[in-house]
Amino acid sequence: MTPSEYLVLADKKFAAGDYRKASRLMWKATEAVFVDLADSHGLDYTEDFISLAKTLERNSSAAKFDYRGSLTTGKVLRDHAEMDVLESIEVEFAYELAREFILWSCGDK
Amino acid sequence: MTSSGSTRDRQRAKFYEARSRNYRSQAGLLLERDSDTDSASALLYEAAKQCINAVANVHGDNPGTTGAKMNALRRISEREPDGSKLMRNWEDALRLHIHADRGHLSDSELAETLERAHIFIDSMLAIYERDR
Repeated sequence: MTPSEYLVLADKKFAAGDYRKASRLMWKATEAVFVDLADSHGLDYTEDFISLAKTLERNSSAAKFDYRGSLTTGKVLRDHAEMDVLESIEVEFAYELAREFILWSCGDK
Repeated sequence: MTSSGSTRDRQRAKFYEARSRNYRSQAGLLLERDSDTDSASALLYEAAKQCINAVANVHGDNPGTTGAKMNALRRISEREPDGSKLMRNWEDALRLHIHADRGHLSDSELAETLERAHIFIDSMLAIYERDR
């Protein structure tokens, strides 16, 4: 699935109040963006994507975005999906940030 | 931007700023002396929250609950040119809070998260110094 397809599903779950499923789907969208970025820039990546995010931030040919911060935000949502650890407002805050990153990635990266 | 809070707000802000620096210092000691990442993570999260309180109070806001702190951080970020980054750095502090409870971060993730939580605290303390 593409990041935008995950986003559509995530938004439906979020609107229905199922924050854990929405969080999981938003993490999958974030993960898909990083895989796409690695492919489009010809970069290798590890499972945690940290080195990739750092490389993208150093790479002047890549469009500028807070890749490391966006990765963290996706992982916070993954944590919530797996462990149910956040208050609603914390999920909403992280979800909004992750959504901004996915929309950016679907646009002019 | 300068302080828009009352004298009492600024006194409270100073208290929170001192507490934030103290929590961070204690976290550093725990990491250095005992390699106690769980407790250090909990203290750094507290330091990050106190930073929000400090800056919010400088501007006449005294957030108590988690929700109020989130909304205060959003308002602070809206005033900053790099506000979006500030909010994302907060997510690292939040992840440390989860790690303190669940111990789920790998060594590489913990190192990354600690570094970025420090960036959040540094950024917020710089805003405090500028605006107080």
